[in-house]
Amino acid sequence: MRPAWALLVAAVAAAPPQAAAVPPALQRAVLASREVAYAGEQIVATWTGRAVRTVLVRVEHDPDGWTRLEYRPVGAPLGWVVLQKGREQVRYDPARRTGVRTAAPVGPDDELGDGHLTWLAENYRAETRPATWLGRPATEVRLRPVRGDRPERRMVVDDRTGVVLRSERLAPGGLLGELTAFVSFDLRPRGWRAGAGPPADLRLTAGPAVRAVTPEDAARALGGPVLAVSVPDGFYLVGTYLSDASGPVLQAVYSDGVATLVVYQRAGRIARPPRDSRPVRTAGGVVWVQSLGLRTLVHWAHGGRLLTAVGEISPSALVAAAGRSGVAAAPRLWDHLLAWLADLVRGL
Amino acid sequence: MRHLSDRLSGYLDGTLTPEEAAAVAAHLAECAECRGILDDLQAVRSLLRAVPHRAPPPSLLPRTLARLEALSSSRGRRRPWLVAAATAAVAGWLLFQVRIPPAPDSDRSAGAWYFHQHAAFAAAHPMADLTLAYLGMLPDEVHRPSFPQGW
Amino acid sequence: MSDVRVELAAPLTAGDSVAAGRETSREQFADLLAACWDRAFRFAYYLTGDRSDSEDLLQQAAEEALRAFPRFQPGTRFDSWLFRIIHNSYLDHVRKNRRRRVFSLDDLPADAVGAGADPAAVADGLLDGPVLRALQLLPPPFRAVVALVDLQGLSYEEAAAILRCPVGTVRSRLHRARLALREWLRPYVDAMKRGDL
Repeated sequence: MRPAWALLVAAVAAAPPQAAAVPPALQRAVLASREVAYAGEQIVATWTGRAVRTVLVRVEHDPDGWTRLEYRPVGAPLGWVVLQKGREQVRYDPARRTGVRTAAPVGPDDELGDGHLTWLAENYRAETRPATWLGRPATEVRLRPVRGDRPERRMVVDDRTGVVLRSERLAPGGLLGELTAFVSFDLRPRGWRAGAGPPADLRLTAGPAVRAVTPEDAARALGGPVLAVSVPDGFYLVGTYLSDASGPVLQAVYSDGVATLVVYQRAGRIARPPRDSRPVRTAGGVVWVQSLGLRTLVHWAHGGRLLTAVGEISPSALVAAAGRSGVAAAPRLWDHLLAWLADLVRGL
Repeated sequence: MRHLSDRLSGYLDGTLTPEEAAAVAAHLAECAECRGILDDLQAVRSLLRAVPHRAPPPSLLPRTLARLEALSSSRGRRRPWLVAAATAAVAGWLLFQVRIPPAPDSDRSAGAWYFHQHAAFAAAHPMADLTLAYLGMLPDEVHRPSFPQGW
Repeated sequence: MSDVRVELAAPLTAGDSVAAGRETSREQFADLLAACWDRAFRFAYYLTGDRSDSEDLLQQAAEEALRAFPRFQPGTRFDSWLFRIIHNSYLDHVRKNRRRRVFSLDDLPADAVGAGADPAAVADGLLDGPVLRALQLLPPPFRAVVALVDLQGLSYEEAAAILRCPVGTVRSRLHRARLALREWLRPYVDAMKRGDL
């Protein structure tokens, strides 16, 4: 995934001068995962429109290439483990001993993720105040979005280590959307999990491959030029990737310093709205919107492409961006018929 | 710590302050009784939300408006909003005759795939909360049993 | 959405209520009423638990709303304003009609809903029966909160503005109402938890 971060470095060079100072506590928080070893238990709660999900997570972290997260949903006899060792990630069900092996998500190569911090300073106003959590002196960092269309982030950063002890995201209306908080936290010596690995008896399958691509590669895979898509203000391109999900899908990843936005495009003329999405009319045509907690998905068709955007941003902002990109009118009966015939021919 | 009473409903609805919610979450981690109540409350709420919407009898609005008209004034006048609404309805009907919106994807996992991918990219973010980001990448079956309505 | 408040007390200026403006304002009223008619009907239905009662209630509330319309402040939420009038009309009606038995939350009629419960029937869209019966067992202030927040999806703040009470009261009433409904609707709650609904 390195080319993506090369792109990011290029973007940093072009970014405007830093608008506001990034609090030192935040810089330490970004660095902490590379420096501090610890173990503990976290409670994680997420609110979707209809439900709150509460999960207990046992956390083990060693900056020398080991993170193990064991999820136990409250009120369900289930559990999952996510294990990241070096550049590899394994997700498995400890009861069934089955799971998936993929490449670990890769962060920026530059020390502080400076591009992200620059964008953060542009898009958020940071405030700090002293706090304590689990009896440890800490600093609460509030990141209020300059634009009212994305979540506010709050973090309680441990003064001694920089580890984020508690973190919340609040929806634009001020409602709590996500919460993680350590309920126990202990420091460990660095290298404490150096010899560990995933259990030997797991049956693992390889997860789908995702590779970084240039626009030329992407155009070849999609069978035509990549469509320019408008994104909400303050988001910057981080990288472009290609994967396969019933055909090639190009994924452009954007960041505003805190929130992540992904725009997917694949070849096609008739939209395939996800189940449970709701149609929303725009000036050009209909787009489909689905919300999952703080995340919004918008799907539409335009210019021979099926487009899907997912990000931590309000539905109205993402629908507006889709509208700016262009939205095809709903297909005529005739278009449906053509698509049906094409499927039939392909089937033969 | 004593039990949570109405803070549980606030927690369920996401209306507590972050500090309160964190305290509730910490209590839930230790208290099976409150977890049970939370589960029940969530089921009650899902039950209420599943009540089908009943529409008023179609004649009720015209009847009510006619009555208001009679009560408030004796001047008979055509109601332009009615004409406008009828025009809009006919226009809408014609629109749907000409253009057919596509049907939803028959594959339920198709929408989830986009959210999973987003979670995977969000996990690479330097500001990521890993515990949360990876939660979004776990299979739906991890979440489904206790939250039949959530997704 | 949540930063819009309805101000009932602020009358329009005298110039707005001259005869020439009255016709437009009635058309405006009809438009606004039509836009939230379905939701207003459901609110009335959840409060009264009866179709014909809810029609009467809604008609009466619409009359009162039209009379009070000159005091409605443009730019604020008409639906919240109308809901408040519906709620007030309903409370007036309950006060006048004392013969109607109103249950207390502590006096649990254990079999009121549970007997003969058939969660399987619910999948066919017949949930209103048991749920609305249970709702009618709640004292009116609790019923109103459930109707607004859980059945109509309003926020605590919106419900508090309609019911003219503090947000904390909405939360505590909602909580106690849900606990009571949990007991009354036990078979359905269990079916929901199993994922059968």
